[in-house]
Amino acid sequence: MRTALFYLAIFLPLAGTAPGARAQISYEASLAPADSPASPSSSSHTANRLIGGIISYARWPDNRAGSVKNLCVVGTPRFTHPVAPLLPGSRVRVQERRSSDVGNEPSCDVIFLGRMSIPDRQQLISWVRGKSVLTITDDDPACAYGAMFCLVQRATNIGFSVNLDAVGRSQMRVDPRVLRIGSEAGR
Amino acid sequence: MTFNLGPARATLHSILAQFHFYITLLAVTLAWLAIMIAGIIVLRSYGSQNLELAAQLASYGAEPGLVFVDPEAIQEAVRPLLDNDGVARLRISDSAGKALMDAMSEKPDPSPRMTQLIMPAPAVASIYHNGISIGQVKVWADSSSIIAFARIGFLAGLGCLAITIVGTLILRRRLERDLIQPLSAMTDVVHDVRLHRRFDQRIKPVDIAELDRLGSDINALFDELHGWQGHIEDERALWTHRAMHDTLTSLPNRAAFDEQLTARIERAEKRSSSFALIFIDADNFKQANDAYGHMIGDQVLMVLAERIKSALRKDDFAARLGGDEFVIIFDPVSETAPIEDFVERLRKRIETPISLATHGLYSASVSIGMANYPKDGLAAEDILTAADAAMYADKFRHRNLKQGLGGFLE
Repeated sequence: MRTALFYLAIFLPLAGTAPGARAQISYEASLAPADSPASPSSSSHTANRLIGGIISYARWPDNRAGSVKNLCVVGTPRFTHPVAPLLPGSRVRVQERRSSDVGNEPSCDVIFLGRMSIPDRQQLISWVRGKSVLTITDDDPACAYGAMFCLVQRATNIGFSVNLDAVGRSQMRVDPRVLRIGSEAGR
Repeated sequence: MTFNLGPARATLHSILAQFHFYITLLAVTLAWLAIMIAGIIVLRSYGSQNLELAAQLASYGAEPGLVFVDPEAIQEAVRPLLDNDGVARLRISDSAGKALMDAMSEKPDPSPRMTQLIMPAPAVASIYHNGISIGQVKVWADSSSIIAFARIGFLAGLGCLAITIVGTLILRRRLERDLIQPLSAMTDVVHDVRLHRRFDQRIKPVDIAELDRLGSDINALFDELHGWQGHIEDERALWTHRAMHDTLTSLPNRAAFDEQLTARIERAEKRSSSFALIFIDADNFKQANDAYGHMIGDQVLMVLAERIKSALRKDDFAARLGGDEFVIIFDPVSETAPIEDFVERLRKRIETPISLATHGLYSASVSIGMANYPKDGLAAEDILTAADAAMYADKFRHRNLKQGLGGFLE
């Protein structure tokens, strides 16, 4: 069991971003302009930050998840290792599980789908459908396989897309502002 | 008004109209000022509320953009707020104070000075995520709504002023009709009465209670004045009569005779006509007066006067010069009515015995002298002297003929 507590000043300004340019979410530039966008540490940070942001805007029915959320990592994450969401003010408990173990106690509030076999993924997605579980993947650039949020490598940085269909089928409530950002980013 | 007032003197009409206008102007201006001030205060409070709301809205809209550090998302969420009236500038900064967005409204501030004056400070709202402050929104106001209000307020004020002026003109006409005209008519009547002494004129009833009362009081005063005027005229006539007449016999007196004689001389001179002067003096009257008393003498004089008066023709004039002297202006002298006949008739008439209550019959005897204008003189003095002389001549003739003429017949 790993507990991640972050008290980082995460929201540092974006330097050198042209105001008119169609900017994707860019952590690298803001955090360390000197770093290359592809540097593993910065992309990992960005991914964790995105994961934390998405979790913070998700609402579980009846507030089931409480203040401490269980995040289950299934498969191998591509952008970040370890998966450690940056979420100041909340606690996220991260556990690694196999796809077959997802249903075990303690139940997962969030499932992070890394790289895995297609049958496993299909099984997991169909299992999760209709439940109040938030799904995030980093292995679906088109965001078409059924996870609600997909971390996507853009031209210069990592962004996220929303699968509105998947969000609509789940019992989760997601802040429309986030949906809007995710939908627009995907276009 | 018809009064002969000096040009510097203001009329009631102009005073009332001016008073009216200034009062209305003052009222309108005060009301307008009050509304403008209240409006600006209310607008200012609405403006700051609006600003607070804009800041809250921007804070809400910018929050996910800040969380995901997506300036584009912040712009998209917050940019529409700048299109609102009254929002001039919007600045969103992260927790370190660095600006992620700082945009101005495309519409320029119509009056930066007004903005400085009314809403100098921006509205500030913190952006919270998960209970932690992650940034700050600042929203600055502009004066567009205040300016729009001031413009409308100014136009409305002008409109009110125009209505005031029109209303004042209408009221002024009403004032003219309801107050000034009746008052003017009243003063006209008073003026006319004073000028022509026509106290029989009356002020007509007026609809205004105070003026009507004034009018009826003036009318009552006119009534009294009318009465007094009649009385005074009677008095004057009496005094004039007294001045020109003898109190005992009621014949014109010496003064009246002098006046009359001068007038007759002028007339005769103008017409080249002639008249005669007849001088009459009672014989021995003084002795009779002393012997029988003044009462009797007066009675005799009254009877004599009465008889002389009854002998006169239409244009003749008789006067008592004093004592027992009478004079007649016999005018005109004509062929058909010779003066000698007249004098004979007069003498006979006078010498008819007079019946006195206590002393029986008294027989009066008179001496008569005549003079003719212009034959015996041109000046009044000369004619009178000539007639007087003629009378004395007659008196001497009487004395020589019958001694002691005039006395009681036993």
